[in-house]
Amino acid sequence: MLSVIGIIVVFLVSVVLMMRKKMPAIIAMPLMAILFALIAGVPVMSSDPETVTIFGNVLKGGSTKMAEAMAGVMFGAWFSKIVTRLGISKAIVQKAAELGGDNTLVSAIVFYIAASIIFIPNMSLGSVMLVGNIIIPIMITMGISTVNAGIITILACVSGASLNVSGWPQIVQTLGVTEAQIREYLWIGIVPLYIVCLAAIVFFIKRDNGKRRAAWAMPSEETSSRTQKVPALAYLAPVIPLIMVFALKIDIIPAIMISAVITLLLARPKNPIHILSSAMVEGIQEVAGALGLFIGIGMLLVAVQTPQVSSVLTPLIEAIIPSTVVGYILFFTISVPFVLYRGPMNIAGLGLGVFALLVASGMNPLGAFLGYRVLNFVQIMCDPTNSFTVWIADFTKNDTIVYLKKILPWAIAVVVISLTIGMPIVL
Amino acid sequence: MRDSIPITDEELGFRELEQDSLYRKIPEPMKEFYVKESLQKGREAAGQWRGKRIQEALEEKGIEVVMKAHQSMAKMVRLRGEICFTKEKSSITVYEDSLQSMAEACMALPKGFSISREKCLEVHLAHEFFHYLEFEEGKTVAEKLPKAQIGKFFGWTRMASIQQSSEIAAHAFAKEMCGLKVLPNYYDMVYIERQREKKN
Repeated sequence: MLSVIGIIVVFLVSVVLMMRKKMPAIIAMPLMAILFALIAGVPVMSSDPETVTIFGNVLKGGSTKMAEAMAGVMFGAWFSKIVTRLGISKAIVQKAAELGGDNTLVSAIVFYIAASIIFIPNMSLGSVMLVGNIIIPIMITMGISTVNAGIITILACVSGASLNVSGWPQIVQTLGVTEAQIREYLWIGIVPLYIVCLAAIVFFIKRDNGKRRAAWAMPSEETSSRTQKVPALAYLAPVIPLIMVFALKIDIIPAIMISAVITLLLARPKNPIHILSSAMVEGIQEVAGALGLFIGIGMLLVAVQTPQVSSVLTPLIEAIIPSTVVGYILFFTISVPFVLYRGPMNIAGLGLGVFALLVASGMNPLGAFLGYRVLNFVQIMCDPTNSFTVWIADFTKNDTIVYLKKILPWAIAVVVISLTIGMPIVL
Repeated sequence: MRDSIPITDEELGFRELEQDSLYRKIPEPMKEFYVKESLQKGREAAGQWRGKRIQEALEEKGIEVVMKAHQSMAKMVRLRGEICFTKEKSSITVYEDSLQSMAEACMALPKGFSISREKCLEVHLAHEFFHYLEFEEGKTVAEKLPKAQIGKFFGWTRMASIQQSSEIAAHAFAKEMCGLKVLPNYYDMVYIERQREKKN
């Protein structure tokens, strides 16, 4: 009983510290792993190699537990940098601006689609800044309000990220589903997401009718520089990994590597080797934080799977795991507020560990997968602590809370619709 | 530095037109037309307010001016000012950091080109006031000018307004209203030039 209370206290204190930004998840995760194991009575070290220990299993084994997921993220970031360095992202935005013409609503939708495509390989602060720096001022000067320009960019972030295949190894490792299952059920969250995003854009732009806006945006070195010439076929680059994974059923990492080569062949740069090598370094730098988080998550995963911690936690978690379709829908819908402000269900923080705990304690992996997906959408759409949301809010000179308030109802709609459609199918 | 930045209205108008997202699609002979017509529309509008200070014009129209001292984390693009027009109440927002950067960029310019911080504010207000006049009239300069053919697809011709026409006209209006020697986008270019110099 004391172990249960101790673990709960550690968990709650970690949540509070993370939400109050007193301790980042990258530190909290390994710390929780060590404390959970210590409280449950896992020995620190042992001369018997068969004995599960904190040093040998939780720390050493845990640090490489998510190796596949880490490789997936690194390769994804590498590919994203290649696309950026070849000027493909900018060229897509330029093409979108031309396609949108002078109609505000059409332009907003075209920019949303174009930015979503660019965000497919990697939706990081760097790529959001790259795209946002170009499309937000264009949208604002077209008369779209700063808030709406920001909303469109955030919705593009979630839509692009929803198709990012480099995160799949993380799902496989954490939730125990297979890549084939991910492929089969991916549409469940995505279709409602896209419909709701489009509806939201139409709603926000139409609601601005009656108001007219204009802004004097200062041209920058970035926006005034000419777009690199990119062969038309190279515009397909961001979706090549998707085609590899979905149509050709190739594993993620080889799919990304082949995509990189195809992209280079399509774009025909002068210095392909330099692009490949520098993109790898820059890509890894960009995801360094995520890699650190994965080390902590791996340790936490190993810790909760030790017989000692598992025997303490399983009865407790079993009690809250739903057993019916309605139960699953309610469970994940009620979880929505716990995603915000780096809450306990936030996938970019403690949430991944919580999901691992839920599945390890008997939650249906496919049910958890669907819940994971929709809560991940909520996090990207609404969490005011997302680095890219903070950047967009600052760039558009609005408060992050404005975005939270405006997007949250739509995010909840995505959750409810996806779960209502999906849970009866996957359970 | 000044050699590389144009000073005539037409050249500066062209530079502004280049910022249009459809610039590459505008037929070459039409580019000059958009610049000249937009400059003309801006000057004509300014003519109707001759003898009035921008602050008086704003007061007359009951436009609220909001000053925001927002320092953007995103240094690459800054908004100078914004107008939000509604039939009931319109407001112009001017960003202090934009004023500051414009005034600083102008410091080393020769007499006649250099403008004070107060003049910078007037320029911002006049630019946005022009957009107010466009919205009040119901049609922007971009909407008034003929649309450009930006594409053809199986016999279907795509036409679009050139949004930057309104910006060129607003610059011309602000130049006349504030008695500047050059269109205000000249100061944008000076600012970018200064940024490049700092980098190097």
